[in-house]
Amino acid sequence: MDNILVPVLVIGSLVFMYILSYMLNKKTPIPEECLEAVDRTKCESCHSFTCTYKGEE
Amino acid sequence: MSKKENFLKGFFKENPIFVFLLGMCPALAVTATFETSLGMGLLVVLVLTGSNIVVSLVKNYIPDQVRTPSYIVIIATFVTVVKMLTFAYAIDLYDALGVFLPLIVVNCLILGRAEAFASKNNVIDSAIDGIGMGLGFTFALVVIGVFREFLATGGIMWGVYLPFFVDAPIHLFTLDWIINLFADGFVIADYGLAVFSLPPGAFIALGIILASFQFKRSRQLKKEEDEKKRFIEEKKKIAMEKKKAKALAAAKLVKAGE
Amino acid sequence: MSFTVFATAIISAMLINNVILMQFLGICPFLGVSKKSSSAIGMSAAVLFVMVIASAVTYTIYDLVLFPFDIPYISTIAFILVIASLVQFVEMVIKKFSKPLYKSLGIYLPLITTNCAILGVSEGNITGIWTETTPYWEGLFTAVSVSIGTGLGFGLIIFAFSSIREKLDGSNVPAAWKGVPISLVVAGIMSLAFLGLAGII
Repeated sequence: MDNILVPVLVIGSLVFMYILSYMLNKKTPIPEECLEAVDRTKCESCHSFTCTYKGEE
Repeated sequence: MSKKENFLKGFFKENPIFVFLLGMCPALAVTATFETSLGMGLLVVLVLTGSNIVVSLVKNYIPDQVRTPSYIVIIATFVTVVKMLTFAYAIDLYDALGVFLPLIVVNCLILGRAEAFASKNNVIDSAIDGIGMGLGFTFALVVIGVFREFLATGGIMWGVYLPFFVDAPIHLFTLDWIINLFADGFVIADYGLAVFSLPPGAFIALGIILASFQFKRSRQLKKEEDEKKRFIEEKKKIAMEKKKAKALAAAKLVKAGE
Repeated sequence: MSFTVFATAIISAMLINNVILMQFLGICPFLGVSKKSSSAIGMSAAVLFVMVIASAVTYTIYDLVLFPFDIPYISTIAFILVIASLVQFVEMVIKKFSKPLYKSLGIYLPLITTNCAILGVSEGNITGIWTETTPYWEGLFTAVSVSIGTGLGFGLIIFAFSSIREKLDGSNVPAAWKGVPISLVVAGIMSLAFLGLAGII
Protein backbone atom coordinates (compact mmCIF):
# COMPACT_ATOMS: atom_id res chain seq x y z
CA MET A 1 0.00 0.00 0.00
CA ASP A 2 2.83 2.29 0.93
CA ASN A 3 4.49 2.07 -2.46
CA ILE A 4 1.36 3.19 -4.25
CA LEU A 5 0.69 6.10 -1.93
CA VAL A 6 3.96 7.93 -2.58
CA PRO A 7 3.77 8.26 -6.40
CA VAL A 8 0.12 9.22 -6.20
CA LEU A 9 0.97 11.88 -3.66
CA VAL A 10 3.88 13.22 -5.70
CA ILE A 11 1.90 13.36 -8.92
CA GLY A 12 -1.07 14.83 -7.11
CA SER A 13 0.98 17.62 -5.61
CA LEU A 14 2.61 18.35 -8.97
CA VAL A 15 -0.77 18.47 -10.70
CA PHE A 16 -2.03 20.77 -7.99
CA MET A 17 0.98 23.02 -8.47
CA TYR A 18 0.45 23.11 -12.21
CA ILE A 19 -3.23 23.93 -11.96
CA LEU A 20 -2.49 26.60 -9.37
CA SER A 21 0.12 28.32 -11.52
CA TYR A 22 -2.07 27.91 -14.59
CA MET A 23 -4.97 29.63 -12.83
CA LEU A 24 -2.75 32.38 -11.46
CA ASN A 25 -1.34 32.95 -14.92
CA LYS A 26 -4.81 33.05 -16.48
CA LYS A 27 -5.93 35.60 -13.93
CA THR A 28 -3.06 37.97 -14.64
CA PRO A 29 -4.14 40.07 -17.61
CA ILE A 30 -1.88 40.43 -20.62
CA PRO A 31 -0.61 44.02 -21.04
CA GLU A 32 -2.73 45.59 -23.72
CA GLU A 33 -0.03 46.63 -26.12
CA CYS A 34 1.23 43.05 -26.27
CA LEU A 35 -2.04 41.42 -27.29
CA GLU A 36 -1.30 41.45 -30.97
CA ALA A 37 2.28 40.30 -30.50
CA VAL A 38 1.05 37.33 -28.46
CA ASP A 39 -1.35 36.28 -31.18
CA ARG A 40 1.27 36.67 -33.85
CA THR A 41 3.85 34.53 -32.09
CA LYS A 42 1.27 31.83 -31.50
CA CYS A 43 0.89 31.50 -35.25
CA GLU A 44 4.59 31.51 -35.97
CA SER A 45 5.20 28.34 -34.04
CA CYS A 46 4.66 24.83 -35.25
CA HIS A 47 1.40 25.43 -37.12
CA SER A 48 -0.20 26.02 -33.79
CA PHE A 49 -3.77 24.98 -33.27
CA THR A 50 -4.39 27.93 -30.95
CA CYS A 51 -3.70 30.46 -33.66
CA THR A 52 -6.15 33.38 -33.60
CA TYR A 53 -4.13 35.99 -35.46
CA LYS A 54 -5.92 37.15 -38.59
CA GLY A 55 -3.48 39.80 -39.76
CA GLU A 56 -1.69 40.07 -43.06
CA GLU A 57 1.19 37.79 -44.10
CA MET B 1 -17.40 12.78 -42.74
CA SER B 2 -17.77 9.04 -43.00
CA LYS B 3 -15.80 6.67 -40.81
CA LYS B 4 -13.67 5.51 -43.70
CA GLU B 5 -12.77 9.05 -44.70
CA ASN B 6 -11.99 9.82 -41.08
CA PHE B 7 -9.60 6.89 -40.98
CA LEU B 8 -7.91 7.54 -44.31
CA LYS B 9 -7.40 11.28 -44.02
CA GLY B 10 -4.20 10.84 -42.01
CA PHE B 11 -2.33 9.11 -44.82
CA PHE B 12 -2.24 11.70 -47.57
CA LYS B 13 -4.72 14.55 -47.25
CA GLU B 14 -3.86 15.49 -43.67
CA ASN B 15 -0.61 13.63 -43.19
CA PRO B 16 0.93 14.97 -39.96
CA ILE B 17 4.50 15.12 -41.25
CA PHE B 18 4.26 15.69 -44.99
CA VAL B 19 1.39 18.19 -44.92
CA PHE B 20 1.24 19.74 -41.44
CA LEU B 21 4.91 19.38 -40.45
CA LEU B 22 3.94 18.24 -36.97
CA GLY B 23 6.28 16.08 -34.94
CA MET B 24 9.39 16.88 -36.93
CA CYS B 25 11.76 16.05 -34.06
CA PRO B 26 11.12 12.28 -34.13
CA ALA B 27 10.79 12.37 -37.91
CA LEU B 28 14.42 13.42 -38.09
CA ALA B 29 15.87 11.71 -35.07
CA VAL B 30 14.64 8.12 -35.08
CA THR B 31 14.44 7.47 -38.82
CA ALA B 32 17.99 6.24 -39.35
CA THR B 33 16.66 2.73 -39.96
CA PHE B 34 13.38 1.23 -41.08
CA GLU B 35 12.85 -0.61 -37.81
CA THR B 36 13.28 2.29 -35.41
CA SER B 37 10.90 4.39 -37.47
CA LEU B 38 8.30 1.62 -37.54
CA GLY B 39 8.68 1.09 -33.79
CA MET B 40 8.37 4.79 -33.02
CA GLY B 41 5.33 5.10 -35.27
CA LEU B 42 3.54 2.19 -33.63
CA LEU B 43 4.23 3.61 -30.16
CA VAL B 44 2.76 6.92 -31.27
CA VAL B 45 -0.32 5.06 -32.58
CA LEU B 46 -0.78 3.49 -29.14
CA VAL B 47 -0.38 6.77 -27.27
CA LEU B 48 -2.53 8.76 -29.69
CA THR B 49 -5.38 6.25 -29.70
CA GLY B 50 -5.33 5.90 -25.93
CA SER B 51 -5.22 9.60 -25.24
CA ASN B 52 -7.91 10.33 -27.85
CA ILE B 53 -10.25 7.76 -26.29
CA VAL B 54 -9.72 8.99 -22.74
CA VAL B 55 -9.99 12.66 -23.69
CA SER B 56 -13.25 12.12 -25.54
CA LEU B 57 -14.58 10.08 -22.60
CA VAL B 58 -13.85 12.73 -19.98
CA LYS B 59 -14.43 15.83 -22.12
CA ASN B 60 -17.70 16.70 -20.40
CA TYR B 61 -16.26 16.49 -16.88
CA ILE B 62 -13.23 18.71 -17.35
CA PRO B 63 -13.75 22.39 -16.63
CA ASP B 64 -12.69 24.59 -19.49
CA GLN B 65 -9.97 26.38 -17.54
CA VAL B 66 -7.89 23.28 -16.83
CA ARG B 67 -8.34 21.57 -20.18
CA THR B 68 -4.74 21.71 -21.42
CA PRO B 69 -3.21 20.65 -18.07
CA SER B 70 -5.44 17.61 -17.87
CA TYR B 71 -4.68 16.64 -21.46
CA ILE B 72 -0.98 16.81 -20.71
CA VAL B 73 -1.42 14.56 -17.66
CA ILE B 74 -3.44 12.02 -19.68
CA ILE B 75 -0.87 11.94 -22.49
CA ALA B 76 2.04 11.67 -20.05
CA THR B 77 0.36 8.71 -18.36
CA PHE B 78 0.01 6.85 -21.64
CA VAL B 79 3.59 7.64 -22.57
CA THR B 80 4.78 6.16 -19.28
CA VAL B 81 2.79 2.99 -19.94
CA VAL B 82 4.20 2.70 -23.44
CA LYS B 83 7.71 3.35 -22.14
CA MET B 84 7.42 0.48 -19.68
CA LEU B 85 5.99 -1.85 -22.35
CA THR B 86 8.91 -1.08 -24.67
CA PHE B 87 11.38 -1.61 -21.87
CA ALA B 88 9.85 -5.00 -21.18
CA TYR B 89 9.42 -6.37 -24.70
CA ALA B 90 11.91 -4.57 -26.96
CA ILE B 91 14.84 -3.33 -24.93
CA ASP B 92 16.96 -2.68 -28.03
CA LEU B 93 14.29 -0.38 -29.41
CA TYR B 94 14.12 1.33 -26.01
CA ASP B 95 17.84 2.02 -26.15
CA ALA B 96 17.74 3.13 -29.77
CA LEU B 97 14.90 5.60 -29.25
CA GLY B 98 16.53 6.91 -26.08
CA VAL B 99 15.25 10.32 -25.05
CA PHE B 100 12.69 10.42 -27.87
CA LEU B 101 10.50 7.87 -26.16
CA PRO B 102 9.54 10.15 -23.24
CA LEU B 103 9.46 13.03 -25.71
CA ILE B 104 6.29 11.62 -27.28
CA VAL B 105 4.61 13.68 -24.54
CA VAL B 106 5.48 16.95 -26.23
CA ASN B 107 4.78 15.78 -29.77
CA CYS B 108 2.57 18.55 -31.18
CA LEU B 109 0.53 15.95 -33.04
CA ILE B 110 -0.90 14.29 -29.94
CA LEU B 111 -1.88 17.42 -28.02
CA GLY B 112 -3.16 18.89 -31.27
CA ARG B 113 -5.47 15.93 -31.98
CA ALA B 114 -6.70 16.01 -28.38
CA GLU B 115 -7.56 19.70 -28.63
CA ALA B 116 -8.81 19.78 -32.19
CA PHE B 117 -10.63 16.47 -32.54
CA ALA B 118 -11.10 14.34 -29.43
CA SER B 119 -12.47 17.16 -27.29
CA LYS B 120 -15.29 17.72 -29.78
CA ASN B 121 -16.20 14.24 -31.02
CA ASN B 122 -17.52 10.99 -29.59
CA VAL B 123 -15.44 8.03 -28.48
CA ILE B 124 -15.61 5.90 -31.62
CA ASP B 125 -14.78 8.73 -34.00
CA SER B 126 -11.91 9.81 -31.76
CA ALA B 127 -10.49 6.30 -31.64
CA ILE B 128 -10.68 6.01 -35.42
CA ASP B 129 -9.08 9.42 -35.79
CA GLY B 130 -6.29 8.40 -33.41
CA ILE B 131 -5.55 5.16 -35.25
CA GLY B 132 -5.73 6.81 -38.67
CA MET B 133 -3.59 9.80 -37.77
CA GLY B 134 -1.12 7.57 -35.94
CA LEU B 135 -0.82 5.23 -38.90
CA GLY B 136 -0.36 8.22 -41.19
CA PHE B 137 2.47 9.35 -38.93
CA THR B 138 3.91 5.82 -39.01
CA PHE B 139 3.63 5.76 -42.79
CA ALA B 140 5.57 9.00 -43.07
CA LEU B 141 8.26 7.81 -40.66
CA VAL B 142 8.61 4.51 -42.52
CA VAL B 143 8.98 6.29 -45.86
CA ILE B 144 11.80 8.39 -44.45
CA GLY B 145 13.34 5.42 -42.65
CA VAL B 146 13.38 3.17 -45.72
CA PHE B 147 14.81 5.97 -47.84
CA ARG B 148 17.62 6.64 -45.38
CA GLU B 149 18.49 3.04 -44.54
CA PHE B 150 18.49 2.02 -48.17
CA LEU B 151 20.80 4.84 -49.19
CA ALA B 152 23.08 4.29 -46.22
CA THR B 153 23.48 0.51 -46.36
CA GLY B 154 21.93 -0.70 -49.62
CA GLY B 155 19.39 -2.91 -47.90
CA ILE B 156 16.64 -3.11 -45.29
CA MET B 157 17.19 -5.09 -42.08
CA TRP B 158 14.65 -6.71 -39.81
CA GLY B 159 15.16 -8.12 -36.33
CA VAL B 160 17.83 -5.84 -34.91
CA TYR B 161 15.59 -3.61 -32.81
CA LEU B 162 12.25 -5.39 -33.13
CA PRO B 163 12.99 -9.01 -32.22
CA PHE B 164 9.62 -10.35 -33.35
CA PHE B 165 8.88 -13.17 -35.84
CA VAL B 166 12.56 -13.98 -36.43
CA ASP B 167 15.34 -15.51 -34.34
CA ALA B 168 18.24 -13.58 -35.82
CA PRO B 169 18.44 -10.33 -37.81
CA ILE B 170 17.66 -10.86 -41.49
CA HIS B 171 17.75 -8.76 -44.64
CA LEU B 172 14.26 -7.93 -45.85
CA PHE B 173 15.72 -6.54 -49.01
CA THR B 174 19.22 -5.98 -50.31
CA LEU B 175 20.95 -5.16 -53.55
CA ASP B 176 23.82 -7.59 -52.91
CA TRP B 177 22.47 -10.51 -54.88
CA ILE B 178 21.81 -8.52 -58.02
CA ILE B 179 25.37 -7.26 -58.16
CA ASN B 180 26.78 -10.64 -57.13
CA LEU B 181 25.36 -12.07 -60.34
CA PHE B 182 28.16 -10.23 -62.10
CA ALA B 183 30.90 -10.05 -59.48
CA ASP B 184 31.97 -12.15 -56.51
CA GLY B 185 32.30 -11.10 -52.91
CA PHE B 186 30.69 -7.73 -53.33
CA VAL B 187 29.29 -6.16 -50.15
CA ILE B 188 27.14 -3.17 -50.95
CA ALA B 189 27.22 -1.91 -47.37
CA ASP B 190 30.83 -0.86 -47.97
CA TYR B 191 29.69 1.47 -50.71
CA GLY B 192 26.67 3.01 -48.94
CA LEU B 193 26.24 6.74 -48.49
CA ALA B 194 26.95 6.64 -44.77
CA VAL B 195 26.04 10.30 -44.38
CA PHE B 196 22.38 9.35 -44.63
CA SER B 197 22.57 7.51 -41.33
CA LEU B 198 24.12 10.59 -39.67
CA PRO B 199 22.33 13.80 -38.63
CA PRO B 200 23.06 15.78 -41.83
CA GLY B 201 21.55 12.97 -43.89
CA ALA B 202 18.37 13.18 -41.86
CA PHE B 203 17.83 16.82 -42.77
CA ILE B 204 18.71 16.31 -46.41
CA ALA B 205 16.58 13.17 -46.79
CA LEU B 206 13.52 14.82 -45.27
CA GLY B 207 14.16 17.88 -47.44
CA ILE B 208 14.22 15.74 -50.58
CA ILE B 209 11.05 13.86 -49.63
CA LEU B 210 9.16 17.04 -48.75
CA ALA B 211 10.32 18.65 -51.99
CA SER B 212 8.99 15.74 -54.03
CA PHE B 213 5.64 16.03 -52.28
CA GLN B 214 5.60 19.75 -52.92
CA PHE B 215 6.51 19.14 -56.55
CA LYS B 216 3.57 16.80 -56.96
CA ARG B 217 1.25 19.22 -55.23
CA SER B 218 2.41 22.18 -57.31
CA ARG B 219 1.89 20.12 -60.48
CA GLN B 220 -1.62 19.28 -59.35
CA LEU B 221 -2.37 22.89 -58.51
CA LYS B 222 -1.10 24.01 -61.88
CA LYS B 223 -3.21 21.42 -63.63
CA GLU B 224 -6.29 22.49 -61.71
CA GLU B 225 -5.61 26.11 -62.49
CA ASP B 226 -5.14 25.36 -66.17
CA GLU B 227 -8.37 23.44 -66.21
CA LYS B 228 -10.15 26.30 -64.54
CA LYS B 229 -8.75 28.75 -67.04
CA ARG B 230 -9.79 26.58 -69.95
CA PHE B 231 -13.23 26.17 -68.43
CA ILE B 232 -13.63 29.92 -68.07
CA GLU B 233 -12.41 30.51 -71.60
CA GLU B 234 -14.81 27.98 -72.96
CA LYS B 235 -17.68 29.60 -71.10
CA LYS B 236 -16.62 32.94 -72.44
CA LYS B 237 -16.55 31.55 -75.94
CA ILE B 238 -20.00 30.06 -75.54
CA ALA B 239 -21.29 33.31 -74.16
CA MET B 240 -19.74 35.22 -77.05
CA GLU B 241 -21.29 32.88 -79.57
CA LYS B 242 -24.63 33.22 -77.90
CA LYS B 243 -24.31 36.97 -78.00
CA LYS B 244 -23.39 36.85 -81.65
CA ALA B 245 -26.30 34.60 -82.42
CA LYS B 246 -28.60 36.88 -80.53
CA ALA B 247 -27.29 39.93 -82.34
CA LEU B 248 -27.69 38.12 -85.64
CA ALA B 249 -31.21 37.14 -84.76
CA ALA B 250 -31.99 40.68 -83.72
CA ALA B 251 -30.55 41.99 -86.96
CA LYS B 252 -32.63 39.49 -88.89
CA LEU B 253 -35.69 40.54 -86.93
CA VAL B 254 -35.00 44.15 -87.69
CA LYS B 255 -34.53 43.30 -91.34
CA ALA B 256 -37.74 41.29 -91.39
CA GLY B 257 -39.52 44.20 -89.74
CA GLU B 258 -38.38 46.54 -92.41
CA MET C 1 32.90 21.74 -9.40
CA SER C 2 35.47 23.53 -11.45
CA PHE C 3 35.90 25.75 -14.44
CA THR C 4 37.09 22.84 -16.57
CA VAL C 5 33.83 20.97 -16.08
CA PHE C 6 31.90 24.11 -16.91
CA ALA C 7 33.89 24.93 -20.06
CA THR C 8 33.84 21.35 -21.32
CA ALA C 9 30.12 21.07 -20.79
CA ILE C 10 29.46 24.38 -22.53
CA ILE C 11 31.60 23.63 -25.59
CA SER C 12 30.40 20.08 -26.00
CA ALA C 13 26.73 20.98 -25.57
CA MET C 14 26.88 24.11 -27.68
CA LEU C 15 29.06 23.09 -30.60
CA ILE C 16 29.66 19.35 -30.73
CA ASN C 17 26.31 17.98 -29.63
CA ASN C 18 24.28 20.91 -30.85
CA VAL C 19 20.63 20.51 -29.83
CA ILE C 20 19.16 21.31 -33.19
CA LEU C 21 21.68 20.04 -35.68
CA MET C 22 22.87 16.90 -33.89
CA GLN C 23 20.12 15.95 -31.46
CA PHE C 24 17.09 17.17 -33.45
CA LEU C 25 15.45 18.81 -30.45
CA GLY C 26 13.42 21.96 -31.00
CA ILE C 27 12.97 21.61 -34.75
CA CYS C 28 9.56 23.26 -34.57
CA PRO C 29 10.76 26.71 -33.48
CA PHE C 30 13.77 26.27 -35.73
CA LEU C 31 11.55 26.04 -38.80
CA GLY C 32 8.71 28.22 -37.54
CA VAL C 33 9.98 31.15 -35.51
CA SER C 34 13.29 31.82 -37.16
CA LYS C 35 11.95 34.07 -39.88
CA LYS C 36 12.96 37.32 -38.21
CA SER C 37 16.18 37.87 -36.33
CA SER C 38 14.42 39.80 -33.56
CA SER C 39 11.97 37.03 -32.78
CA ALA C 40 14.76 34.48 -33.03
CA ILE C 41 16.65 36.29 -30.29
CA GLY C 42 13.56 36.61 -28.07
CA MET C 43 12.72 32.97 -28.52
CA SER C 44 16.19 31.71 -27.76
CA ALA C 45 16.50 33.94 -24.70
CA ALA C 46 13.24 32.52 -23.38
CA VAL C 47 14.39 28.98 -24.08
CA LEU C 48 17.75 29.53 -22.40
CA PHE C 49 16.10 31.01 -19.33
CA VAL C 50 13.52 28.27 -18.91
CA MET C 51 15.98 25.52 -19.82
CA VAL C 52 18.41 26.43 -17.05
CA ILE C 53 15.72 26.67 -14.38
CA ALA C 54 13.95 23.55 -15.60
CA SER C 55 17.02 21.37 -15.65
CA ALA C 56 18.02 22.51 -12.17
CA VAL C 57 14.54 21.82 -10.80
CA THR C 58 14.08 18.47 -12.54
CA TYR C 59 17.52 17.27 -11.49
CA THR C 60 16.76 18.24 -7.92
CA ILE C 61 13.41 16.50 -7.95
CA TYR C 62 14.88 13.35 -9.43
CA ASP C 63 17.79 13.22 -7.03
CA LEU C 64 16.01 14.21 -3.85
CA VAL C 65 12.47 12.90 -4.35
CA LEU C 66 11.98 10.37 -7.12
CA PHE C 67 15.06 8.24 -6.52
CA PRO C 68 15.04 8.07 -2.70
CA PHE C 69 11.35 7.10 -2.71
CA ASP C 70 12.07 4.49 -5.38
CA ILE C 71 9.67 5.89 -7.96
CA PRO C 72 11.90 6.90 -10.90
CA TYR C 73 9.36 5.45 -13.33
CA ILE C 74 7.07 8.47 -12.96
CA SER C 75 9.85 10.79 -14.10
CA THR C 76 8.22 11.60 -17.46
CA ILE C 77 4.94 12.73 -15.88
CA ALA C 78 6.74 14.58 -13.12
CA PHE C 79 9.08 16.38 -15.51
CA ILE C 80 6.43 17.54 -17.94
CA LEU C 81 4.32 18.80 -15.04
CA VAL C 82 7.25 20.62 -13.48
CA ILE C 83 8.22 22.23 -16.79
CA ALA C 84 4.64 23.21 -17.59
CA SER C 85 4.01 24.79 -14.20
CA LEU C 86 7.39 26.48 -14.28
CA VAL C 87 6.58 28.06 -17.63
CA GLN C 88 3.21 29.26 -16.37
CA PHE C 89 4.74 30.64 -13.20
CA VAL C 90 7.56 32.46 -14.98
CA GLU C 91 5.10 33.90 -17.49
CA MET C 92 2.88 35.17 -14.70
CA VAL C 93 5.76 36.80 -12.84
CA ILE C 94 7.09 38.51 -15.96
CA LYS C 95 3.62 39.63 -16.96
CA LYS C 96 3.07 41.19 -13.58
CA PHE C 97 6.37 42.92 -12.98
CA SER C 98 8.01 43.89 -16.24
CA LYS C 99 6.13 44.94 -19.34
CA PRO C 100 9.15 45.44 -21.62
CA LEU C 101 10.55 42.06 -20.65
CA TYR C 102 7.20 40.49 -21.36
CA LYS C 103 7.03 42.10 -24.75
CA SER C 104 10.46 40.91 -25.83
CA LEU C 105 10.64 37.51 -24.12
CA GLY C 106 7.43 36.60 -22.35
CA ILE C 107 5.31 36.23 -25.45
CA TYR C 108 7.38 33.20 -26.45
CA LEU C 109 6.86 31.44 -23.13
CA PRO C 110 3.52 29.75 -23.95
CA LEU C 111 5.20 28.01 -26.87
CA ILE C 112 7.88 26.52 -24.68
CA THR C 113 5.82 23.94 -22.79
CA THR C 114 5.60 21.81 -25.90
CA ASN C 115 9.18 22.50 -26.94
CA CYS C 116 11.01 19.20 -27.00
CA ALA C 117 14.35 20.82 -26.25
CA ILE C 118 13.47 21.57 -22.62
CA LEU C 119 12.12 18.14 -21.75
CA GLY C 120 14.85 16.54 -23.84
CA VAL C 121 17.61 18.25 -21.86
CA SER C 122 15.96 17.36 -18.56
CA GLU C 123 15.69 13.70 -19.54
CA GLY C 124 19.19 13.74 -21.01
CA ASN C 125 20.58 15.04 -17.73
CA ILE C 126 19.17 12.04 -15.93
CA THR C 127 20.42 9.47 -18.43
CA GLY C 128 23.74 11.18 -19.08
CA ILE C 129 24.90 12.85 -15.87
CA TRP C 130 22.98 11.40 -12.98
CA THR C 131 24.39 8.33 -11.26
CA GLU C 132 23.63 6.85 -7.90
CA THR C 133 26.96 7.90 -6.47
CA THR C 134 27.35 11.42 -7.86
CA PRO C 135 27.11 13.99 -5.07
CA TYR C 136 24.07 16.22 -5.46
CA TRP C 137 25.89 19.54 -5.90
CA GLU C 138 28.37 18.19 -8.41
CA GLY C 139 25.66 16.67 -10.55
CA LEU C 140 23.54 19.79 -10.32
CA PHE C 141 26.49 21.93 -11.40
CA THR C 142 27.16 19.74 -14.43
CA ALA C 143 23.48 19.64 -15.34
CA VAL C 144 23.18 23.42 -15.18
CA SER C 145 26.36 23.88 -17.23
CA VAL C 146 25.09 21.50 -19.89
CA SER C 147 21.75 23.28 -20.01
CA ILE C 148 23.44 26.68 -20.39
CA GLY C 149 25.52 25.28 -23.24
CA THR C 150 22.48 23.73 -24.86
CA GLY C 151 20.52 26.96 -24.62
CA LEU C 152 23.40 28.93 -26.11
CA GLY C 153 23.73 26.40 -28.93
CA PHE C 154 20.00 26.68 -29.61
CA GLY C 155 20.28 30.47 -29.77
CA LEU C 156 23.34 30.34 -32.01
CA ILE C 157 21.71 28.10 -34.58
CA ILE C 158 18.33 29.84 -34.52
CA PHE C 159 19.99 33.23 -34.99
CA ALA C 160 22.35 32.04 -37.72
CA PHE C 161 19.50 30.35 -39.49
CA SER C 162 17.25 33.42 -39.32
CA SER C 163 19.98 35.40 -41.05
CA ILE C 164 20.32 32.75 -43.74
CA ARG C 165 16.55 32.72 -44.09
CA GLU C 166 16.49 36.44 -44.83
CA LYS C 167 18.93 35.86 -47.70
CA LEU C 168 17.03 32.80 -48.82
CA ASP C 169 13.76 34.68 -49.14
CA GLY C 170 15.27 36.97 -51.74
CA SER C 171 16.80 34.24 -53.85
CA ASN C 172 15.17 32.40 -56.69
CA VAL C 173 14.35 28.93 -55.37
CA PRO C 174 12.55 26.36 -57.58
CA ALA C 175 8.88 26.09 -56.70
CA ALA C 176 9.16 22.54 -55.43
CA TRP C 177 11.90 23.44 -52.95
CA LYS C 178 10.39 26.66 -51.66
CA GLY C 179 9.82 26.96 -47.91
CA VAL C 180 10.53 24.04 -45.65
CA PRO C 181 12.42 21.69 -48.02
CA ILE C 182 15.15 24.17 -48.85
CA SER C 183 15.38 25.14 -45.16
CA LEU C 184 15.92 21.49 -44.28
CA VAL C 185 18.65 21.12 -46.87
CA VAL C 186 20.35 24.27 -45.59
CA ALA C 187 20.10 22.83 -42.07
CA GLY C 188 21.65 19.62 -43.38
CA ILE C 189 24.62 21.51 -44.77
CA MET C 190 25.01 23.40 -41.48
CA SER C 191 24.87 20.09 -39.69
CA LEU C 192 27.54 18.71 -41.99
CA ALA C 193 29.74 21.65 -41.01
CA PHE C 194 29.12 21.04 -37.31
CA LEU C 195 29.95 17.37 -37.76
CA GLY C 196 33.49 18.53 -38.44
CA LEU C 197 33.72 19.94 -34.92
CA ALA C 198 33.50 16.49 -33.36
CA GLY C 199 36.71 15.70 -31.60
CA ILE C 200 37.88 19.18 -30.69
CA ILE C 201 37.74 18.21 -27.04
